[in-house]
Amino acid sequence: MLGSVDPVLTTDGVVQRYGGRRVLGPIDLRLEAGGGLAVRGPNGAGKSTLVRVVAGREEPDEGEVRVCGRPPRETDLEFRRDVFVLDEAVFYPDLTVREHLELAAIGHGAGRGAAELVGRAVERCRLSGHADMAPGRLSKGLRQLMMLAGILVRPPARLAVLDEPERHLDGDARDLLAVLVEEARERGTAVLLATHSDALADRVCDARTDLS
Amino acid sequence: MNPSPAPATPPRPTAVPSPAAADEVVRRLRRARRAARGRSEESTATSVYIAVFTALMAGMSFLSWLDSTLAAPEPPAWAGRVAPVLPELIALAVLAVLWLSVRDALVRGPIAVERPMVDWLLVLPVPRRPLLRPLLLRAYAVRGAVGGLSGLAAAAVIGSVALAPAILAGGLAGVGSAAVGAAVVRFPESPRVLAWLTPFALAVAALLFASALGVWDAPVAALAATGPWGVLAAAAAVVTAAAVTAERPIGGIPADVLRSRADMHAALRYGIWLSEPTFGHDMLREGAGRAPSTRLRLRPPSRAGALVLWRDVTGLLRNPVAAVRSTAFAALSAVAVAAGAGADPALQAGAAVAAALLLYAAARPLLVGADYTAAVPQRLLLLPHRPPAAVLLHGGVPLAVLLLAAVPGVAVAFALVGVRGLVLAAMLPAVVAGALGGTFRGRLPAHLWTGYESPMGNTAPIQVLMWHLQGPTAAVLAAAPPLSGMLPGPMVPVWTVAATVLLAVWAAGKGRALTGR
Repeated sequence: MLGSVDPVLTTDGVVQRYGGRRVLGPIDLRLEAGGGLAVRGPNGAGKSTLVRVVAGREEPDEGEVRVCGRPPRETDLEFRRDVFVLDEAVFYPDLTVREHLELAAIGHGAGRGAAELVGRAVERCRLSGHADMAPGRLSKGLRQLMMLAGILVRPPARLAVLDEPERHLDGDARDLLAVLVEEARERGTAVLLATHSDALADRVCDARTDLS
Repeated sequence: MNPSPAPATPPRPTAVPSPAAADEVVRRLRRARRAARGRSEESTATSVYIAVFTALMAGMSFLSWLDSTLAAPEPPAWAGRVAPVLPELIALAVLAVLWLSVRDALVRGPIAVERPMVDWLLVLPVPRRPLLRPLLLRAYAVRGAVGGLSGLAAAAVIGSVALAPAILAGGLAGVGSAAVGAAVVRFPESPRVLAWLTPFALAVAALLFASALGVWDAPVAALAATGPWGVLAAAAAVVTAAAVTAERPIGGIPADVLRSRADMHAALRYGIWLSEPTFGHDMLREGAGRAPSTRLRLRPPSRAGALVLWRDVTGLLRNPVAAVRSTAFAALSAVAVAAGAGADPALQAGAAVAAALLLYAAARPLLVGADYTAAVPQRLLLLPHRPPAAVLLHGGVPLAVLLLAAVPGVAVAFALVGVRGLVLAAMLPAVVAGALGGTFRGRLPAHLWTGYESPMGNTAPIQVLMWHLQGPTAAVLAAAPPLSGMLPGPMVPVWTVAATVLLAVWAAGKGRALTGR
């Protein structure tokens, strides 16, 4: 279990505007190690904006965000070591599912154990029959499972930021998603979950914030 | 126990609508879209303003150049050298248009369907030919006009060609390319057509080159001796027959073929509006079913530091043609260096520029991995390096392969012109760095569309063009001076090292700029 005295994620008075129109905030959040926070709200409430700010893809117009005690910058190697972000699938069209996961595993230092690690992740995420295919040839659901499998091929992250991870997944895959998130929390990963699914939020998170 | 419900009666099929229904559908669609356009007058006015502004900026420059060229009292000196080989050049141009039309039609084609039309109109039980015919006729008109303008420009440049035949020849080539494209789109055997057309076209091109060099007398010269109007009349008959023949079966084009081509047309339109010529290329390379085969696999490394190299080697293994292209261009580069040696200074400089551009063309196909990463900047963050380092690492494998690919050319150049042949090899790192910088240039910044007035006109189109030509420009600036032989001997290694370092720093900076950090 990851130990941490300071919160993994804090946002203080964060506001974001697009074209002069406020789309998020002000929002104050605090997430400890192993905690789970669900962010709810209708379309356009700012859930994805919050995810982008916490994931270091945008700087807030006002307020401060700190992840593991530092401002989030996704170009920082330490940030990418500590934070797992799951949103839309990004992949190389000429690499297979297995090769993508090997890329992630080796990039996180799995070394010679990468093949075995990836094999287990592929099996667990129901990708065994598709592991040697390019993601471009797979359904959106299978691509989403490939992205989800990324959490299994790396050391436990300090923070997992999940933006509608349940999209395109069938019932069994959503169960798997819930189990993986629960296991991550047990290992000490703090989870920030933006979701439309009440069932998922209730199952994997113990706190909720509503942006509507 | 309740009795099972009686099985539902399936709906009775209705009669197939008459062909006139297709015309009515098109009329209604036009009316509805006119109404929608009326509701968005502001965006229409903006679009018209942008289109007129762009056309004026590009068109005025073209017309101004055309006017000054046509008004010149004498054709340029080099035009006299072109005249004897004009029949071969025209035949080569026609061959190139034919080959390019087929290649284009395999992914795009002349029938510019919009995706909503495919999903809403073409699924209706109405004949498709009336829906698609206007689009094909428009393609004939547009390509014919572009061909005619090209003929006019070519006649103006060459100076010894009559305008009317040139315009007609260009127009016929344009219409012919649309007809060929429509036929390729219609028939599923088309990819095999390209498979036999390519070596055939290369063989014919080689024969035409040989004829131009005087090694062999191609029949084109004899044909041209009969005069342009006879040839044009025959060509007009052939093209007209092709255009009519290609129009008849277009109603049978499968919907999935039209869907994929509709996506490519949209990509081209967006690319033009965004001034991003690579937009369609990215879609072409990454569209569903277009990714290369993944059968060839390379075991990944155990060290994270070697991942980018593994990613690039995998990309090249799955695109073996890249290495072949690279070898060919590297050899041509050596030919250019050899051709310029000992010539007058102007020719030496021209040969050096050509050699540098050919070196760039040799490096470019090898940047497969860099291409994929640059197309979606988020992919830079999949790699376990800071973005500037990841960009530079993408140059490692291409440089290694290019050094191998260039060995035959460098050896020949060294045998012919001595040390200058080795300079070719020494410039490869700088050229690869320049190509990397061009690959990672990102999307065109909007401020480049704001130019200023200069004696040559508004600078905005030139700024946009130079933005997209960063890679080749960097290669020329780095490689041409030492390849021209005009640098003093001791300066060549200094120049080589300095150019490589500067371009590497520049390319690394692109990675930082792409990710915003």
